[in-house]
Amino acid sequence: MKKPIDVKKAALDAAVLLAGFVFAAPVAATFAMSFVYGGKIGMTQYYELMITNYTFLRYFWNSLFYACVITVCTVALSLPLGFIFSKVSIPGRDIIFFVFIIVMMLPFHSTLLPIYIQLDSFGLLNTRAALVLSFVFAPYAVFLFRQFAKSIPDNFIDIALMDTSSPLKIYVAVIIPHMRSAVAALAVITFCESWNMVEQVIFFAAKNNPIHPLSAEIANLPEGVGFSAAAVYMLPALLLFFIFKEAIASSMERFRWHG
Amino acid sequence: MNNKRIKRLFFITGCPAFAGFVFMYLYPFIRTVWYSLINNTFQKRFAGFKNYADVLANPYFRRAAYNTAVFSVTGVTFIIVLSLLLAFGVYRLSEKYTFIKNFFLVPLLLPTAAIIFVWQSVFLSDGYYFFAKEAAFTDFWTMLPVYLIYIWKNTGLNLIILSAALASIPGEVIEAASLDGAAGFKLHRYVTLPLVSPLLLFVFVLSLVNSLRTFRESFLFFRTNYPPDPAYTIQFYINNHFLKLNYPTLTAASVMFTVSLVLLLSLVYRWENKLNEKTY
Amino acid sequence: MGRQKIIYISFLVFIFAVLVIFTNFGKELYGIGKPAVTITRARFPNDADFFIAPASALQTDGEIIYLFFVKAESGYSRQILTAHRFEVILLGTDFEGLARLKKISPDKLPGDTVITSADKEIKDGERVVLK
Repeated sequence: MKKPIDVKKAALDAAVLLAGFVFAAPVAATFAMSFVYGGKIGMTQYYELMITNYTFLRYFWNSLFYACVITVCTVALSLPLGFIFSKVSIPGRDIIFFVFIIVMMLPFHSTLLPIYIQLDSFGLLNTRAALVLSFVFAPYAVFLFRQFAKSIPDNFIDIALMDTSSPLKIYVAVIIPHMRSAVAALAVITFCESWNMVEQVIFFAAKNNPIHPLSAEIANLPEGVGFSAAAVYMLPALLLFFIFKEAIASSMERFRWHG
Repeated sequence: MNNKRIKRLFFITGCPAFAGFVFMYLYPFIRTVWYSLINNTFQKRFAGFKNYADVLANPYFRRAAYNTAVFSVTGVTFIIVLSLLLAFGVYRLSEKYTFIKNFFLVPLLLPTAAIIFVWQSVFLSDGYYFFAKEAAFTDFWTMLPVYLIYIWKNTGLNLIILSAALASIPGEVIEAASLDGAAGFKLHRYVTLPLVSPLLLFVFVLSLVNSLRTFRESFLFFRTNYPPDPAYTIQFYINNHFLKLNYPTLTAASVMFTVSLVLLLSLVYRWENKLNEKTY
Repeated sequence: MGRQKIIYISFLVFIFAVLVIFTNFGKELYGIGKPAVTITRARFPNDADFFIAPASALQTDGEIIYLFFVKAESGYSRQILTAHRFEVILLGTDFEGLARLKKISPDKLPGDTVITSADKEIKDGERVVLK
């Protein structure tokens, strides 16, 4: 006996699927348009991109450099701080954390000018260091690690403390394994955020074109190669998402506002 | 962890990050405030609130503030409604279609500069330009691409959070409510929404903060420092003053922007606590 | 790791490998498939309705005599040279191998540089590289 089709459910499914495809449309359109050049379909646009306009690749590797360095540094810096905020009781800790949350919401323009002046006084303007530094201190990373660190059972840490008194060993043996999905998720998010950096380049590295990441330079490419450039630019982020999507989804779901 | 020595060792591991935060956020913000209180960068004489008065009197600033507010309010409303609807939809979706969740989440991670080409080829084309000029509500049509980018990029995150919220409602509560006669719209209005509201508030705050970050997308899309009138938000104002080296003005605007944001958020925070008290 | 993940990761590696290859060889690959040419400047005597170019630059196609001018544009990464065919009337040659040429159509000349030799046949509008 055939099951009767639940019209309501089918309609719901269709609506959600339609929304999904609408969301996917810009990405699909970019890839589709990357295979058209001068009205003809083929790989010509990519050829134009990588061979005639080969300096495009220089900016791509710049972006990759920044994204990798920033990701590693952010994880290394934020993990201990996140752990401290959740497990190590220090006087005034919660107030400071509250300040952190406020800072997390600050728009870039609130602190833009003094950072600019500070970088200038250290001679770091228009250097790669400037762009890296402006990303590695990320409140959202600390926030995420704090939430995840709460899930580490206290006795695990106490047991580890009985064996060794080196924080580094405890990090490696106990803390990091527990937060693996958080680390993966944060790494991907940080990678994609720095892959996307725009304002920092405009303000802190405007005069030094060869170190620019692709995000800032992609608009200057000649007509006709935009879509293929965009496609190449999107691919690493897209692939990273698919490789790590379980980690990302699960850490998003465990997001709680307080506690 | 009670041992003081251990605590201190751990504390040290957090110091580099903490120092960085002070260096990159706290200290700069204090200096921003200082800059906003002096008359200009050469004399550095204390000028009280003169800069603030000047900025507030500036019609461009007022326009920018108005545009920012309009964009945020409209954008946040749309995105929350859409996210809620999609969250319900995804929650009730058939098993075999759950891959579609990825389609919503991917835009968050994609680089804006890449996707902007598609938007430009549609919304900056001559056809759309003339359409927007002639149609009613020109401002809305001019801003439509920015709204769309904002919604496209940020719905996924809201969706994940709200789906988790929906999934965490215990089945018995829904059952009990439907036994009492609530169904469909009523069920959602009086049972589901209140239970979801703490996370809904979080999504609201998140969407609000993200709406202020659309400066990047807007800047890349319009490709100019002086976008069409309705798109001229506070960040553009600050941006342009930075380029003109107008430090006291720009910092005054930044501080006002930040303070109003913090005030707004603490109001929301206060409201959320009240809500929580009521439910339990 | 699931099979899907391995596919994604290998795709990522593949793309990076391709990009590395293009980074290293992209510059040279530009010349492949394009005619390599030598060029020289044509001379335009004042108040003359003819110009002077080496006779070796001329080619014939039945009754029509033509040569190629080269237009240089600053592209995004490099200079782009495009060959433009131009038909001329041969007024005469002198003993140094230079020819006096007059243009047939009233269009402006597409530049002042002509191609004197190429390693393969050139089509109008084709991109060329210097030998």
